[in-house]
Amino acid sequence: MILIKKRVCPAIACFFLSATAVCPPVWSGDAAAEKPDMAKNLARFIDQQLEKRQQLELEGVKPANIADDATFLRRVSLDIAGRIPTISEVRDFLDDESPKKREVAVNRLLTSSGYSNHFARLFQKAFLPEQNDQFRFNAAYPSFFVWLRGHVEKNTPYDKLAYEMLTASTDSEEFNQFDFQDGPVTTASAQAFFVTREVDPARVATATARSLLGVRLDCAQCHDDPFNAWEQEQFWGFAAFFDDLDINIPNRPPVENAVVKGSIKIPETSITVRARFLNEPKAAEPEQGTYRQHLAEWVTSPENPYFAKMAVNRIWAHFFGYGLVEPLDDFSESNSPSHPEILDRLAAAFVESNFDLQFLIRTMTATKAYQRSSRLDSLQEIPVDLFAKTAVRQLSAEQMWASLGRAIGYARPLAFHEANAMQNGDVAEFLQSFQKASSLEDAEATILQALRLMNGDVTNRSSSATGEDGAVGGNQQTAMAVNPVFEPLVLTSLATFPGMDNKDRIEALFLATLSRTPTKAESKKLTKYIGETGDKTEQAQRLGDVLWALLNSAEFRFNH
Amino acid sequence: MNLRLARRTNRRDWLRATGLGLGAFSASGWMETLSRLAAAETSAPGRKKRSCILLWMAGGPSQIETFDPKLNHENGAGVKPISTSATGIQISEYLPKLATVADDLTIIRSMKTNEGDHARASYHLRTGYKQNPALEYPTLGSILSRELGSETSAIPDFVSIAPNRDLNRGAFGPGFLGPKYAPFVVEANGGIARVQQQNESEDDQEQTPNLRVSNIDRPDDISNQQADARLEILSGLNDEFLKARPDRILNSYRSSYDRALRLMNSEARKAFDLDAEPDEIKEAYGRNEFGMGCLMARRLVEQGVSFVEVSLNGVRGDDFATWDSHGNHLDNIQQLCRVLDPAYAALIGDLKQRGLLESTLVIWMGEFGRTPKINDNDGRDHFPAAWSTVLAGAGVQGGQVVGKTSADGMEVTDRPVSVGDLMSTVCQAMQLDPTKQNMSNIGRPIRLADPEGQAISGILTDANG
Repeated sequence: MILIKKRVCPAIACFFLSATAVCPPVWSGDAAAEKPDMAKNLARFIDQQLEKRQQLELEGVKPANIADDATFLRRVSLDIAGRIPTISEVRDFLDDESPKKREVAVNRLLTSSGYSNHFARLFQKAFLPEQNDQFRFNAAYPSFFVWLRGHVEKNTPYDKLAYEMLTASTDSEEFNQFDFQDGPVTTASAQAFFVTREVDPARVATATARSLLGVRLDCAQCHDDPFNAWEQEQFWGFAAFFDDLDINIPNRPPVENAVVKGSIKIPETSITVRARFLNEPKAAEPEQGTYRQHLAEWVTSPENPYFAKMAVNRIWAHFFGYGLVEPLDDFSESNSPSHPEILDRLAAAFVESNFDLQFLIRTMTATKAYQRSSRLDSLQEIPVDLFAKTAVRQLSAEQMWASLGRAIGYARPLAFHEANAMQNGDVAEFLQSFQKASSLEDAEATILQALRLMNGDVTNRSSSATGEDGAVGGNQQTAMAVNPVFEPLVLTSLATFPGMDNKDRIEALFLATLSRTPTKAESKKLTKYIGETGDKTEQAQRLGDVLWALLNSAEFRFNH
Repeated sequence: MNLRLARRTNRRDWLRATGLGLGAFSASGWMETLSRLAAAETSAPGRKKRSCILLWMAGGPSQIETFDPKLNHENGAGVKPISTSATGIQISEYLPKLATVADDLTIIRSMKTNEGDHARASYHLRTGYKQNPALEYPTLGSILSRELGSETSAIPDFVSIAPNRDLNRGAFGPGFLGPKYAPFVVEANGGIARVQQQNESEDDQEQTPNLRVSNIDRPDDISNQQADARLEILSGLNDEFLKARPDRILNSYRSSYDRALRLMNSEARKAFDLDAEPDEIKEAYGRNEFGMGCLMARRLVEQGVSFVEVSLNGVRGDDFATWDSHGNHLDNIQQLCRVLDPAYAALIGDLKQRGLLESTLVIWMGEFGRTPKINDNDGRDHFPAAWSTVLAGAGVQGGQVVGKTSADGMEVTDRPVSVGDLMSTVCQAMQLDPTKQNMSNIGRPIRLADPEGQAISGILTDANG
């Protein structure tokens, strides 16, 4: 039998007590029609809370203004669909005079294929953060991605998605049938959550607690965790729920601590503990179903406050660049949220909306805070967690790739195996060199990225103009034969399109890359640069120089 | 206490104190800086700090055919030990040139680890920690170059030559230290050295293998004038954007372009250009990817680069041979040693002659050794229980052997050395405190080397110096 320690740490005692803020009424069909209003009201509440704090702490500095339309469209396209808008999307949006156009744009983006891909990647990074590790698990990732993407597309309630993942089959026959990287992937499976952790109960338990609850059990695996008051027995009690993991994967190391019917032996000890939820002193006894299903119900329950809060915080960090709790998956007591009232209210509304991710997205993008400019009138330093200006953020590698594709006129979709970043080749190398740091504070722009954008194929081939007869230079010919991605499509068509003058061409390049029209000064200066020569080929090449500079500019490189 | 620890102690206060703008700047000066950098020549850096060259033998090289021969046992497979320049130390007959510089080597014959899987063992040896899904440990090059590198050096502080990262990418990356500490990669056929085939005349072979540094050169068809015009347009675009945004990432963006331009225009970048080396030097190292990689490593260290790794996992000649010699063992190992021996020996000799060996640690290792008993395919399998690594330079007393294995090579009989022990020793040789902590991605401080390890005593002349 297990011993229950007398000392119950405060963190555990209040694990569910703080759930009082979350009272989920059933979301009826009629109420669904009220969701847009609910999103707006909630957005207003968020702004009020943020502004209250800003007034207290900003000492006279004014929060940034609301961003102009072009800036908003670029930002929201990157955040929702993972890429910058096209020239025509920008023009249509700027011409639209409807006061509701920002909301309409959000709804349109939520139906795009970019959205399902981008958010599938977001969740893949959340659930499989160690994603580019080992060759032998290559086949598991694409299926996981396909599985996630299907759910994002259908807007599956988040609790259902998590439940399905935690209770996924770990049948080895299924694993062996996974598609390998060549050709389209059709299998949709959440097995990777277990397979890439070598179906080890301890590792799966750690990942579950961290990615779904923001609870870090890592330290408690080996010893009682003095910082977070998790005890080693609690950890193993949690791991004991994964008692039915059964899969034959290549080279799996022997798991010393096999789990039998909801109990597990702590390695290098003689102690056996029974499955028990983190906050419960008593061993769990599922009345029906497996231990794993029992755990999945507990994790995704509306009464589990950490589940909704963790999800809300992840989405918040995605849109604002910085979590209400940061690091975004560390909900320990010593790491309090910057705005608990916002977190509580958002989590409650998320539960009430039946875990509707799109509801969260509509709410957050409707806030003034999200729509603020990244510009301040002065170079005043202000704390990032006041959300008084939009933080300038790195693009993820995939955002960078997709945006470059749009800007240069060749939007080559990424194959699944490329998204996996385990491959060799130009595209994979490109993606690897633009890997994004996991937090704003750790973000770095690197020398390798600068060299790649200044001297690499993508920028140079796309900004290398053809001659008047359409013939390309020798260097370029080779590059194009090797990789047609780098054809200077935008540039060639701009340089030869009838009825355009140099001013129009500059404007088109700005719209294609920075998603805005040039300022008067920019337009004047660059039109002059191009017009200084009368030679048509030289003019086309100078247009290419402008494109090169735009692609290297900070304004293109970042989400702002 | 470092900044990141301070942040952890009181994260939000720290954020308030520093705000978003860790160092506001004047944007207007950027173009000036760029042009100045483009024109300026970085003077050769003074050699104050230590450097490290890792010769990474991916696949797991056999200890018996290299540094721990077994003369009087069937497990020795008949490979003869030969005497070396170090009195009383014998190594395998396959390494005759290396035998002449053995007085500079410290051979550790008592590596005792417990991982026999390539991917996991590579991770352990290359980061110093066992793989843990919650934590992304940085590879040795990232750890050391972060400590020893300089923000102002023209060449990146961590250069990786010919890596083959497919087996376990995590073992080759900067992990929680972030992309700033990622390696600058020189491509050279993925760690496979191409050597002359029997039916091939010298003329058929490329004279010097192509070690490719990506994107360091401006494309040929861009003139100086055009390049200047491009930079000027870029600078104009950026000035407007940067001046009203104090975000820290934008400082990092600016400095990345500064450093990239400095590298492109520096004298130091000639370290990547092997054409400057006389033929006899190239011959001495061996005209193959590994030999030329070792030569490039020496040139980079001369320029003050903190960490260079050169990978050798196979040889392609008449056959394809790898360290992972599960079959046809002796033939595999002989082919690899014919590439390894001249390059390694030339590197040690060359560094010494130039006075660089005393400040440069050269590590030779793979992820594990090979089974002493020959298997049914005339091969040797993975063996972590008793195997060899070698250190040289940077205050490591040469001409000695650490530890001992049994006559059959099956077990360590004296001074077992763990991965943590090895990493602590490496840190000490680099004049770093192995217990120094960096903040990890899960907010847990991680020491440079696993604290369970202890530096091997008595092999450093200036420990803690």
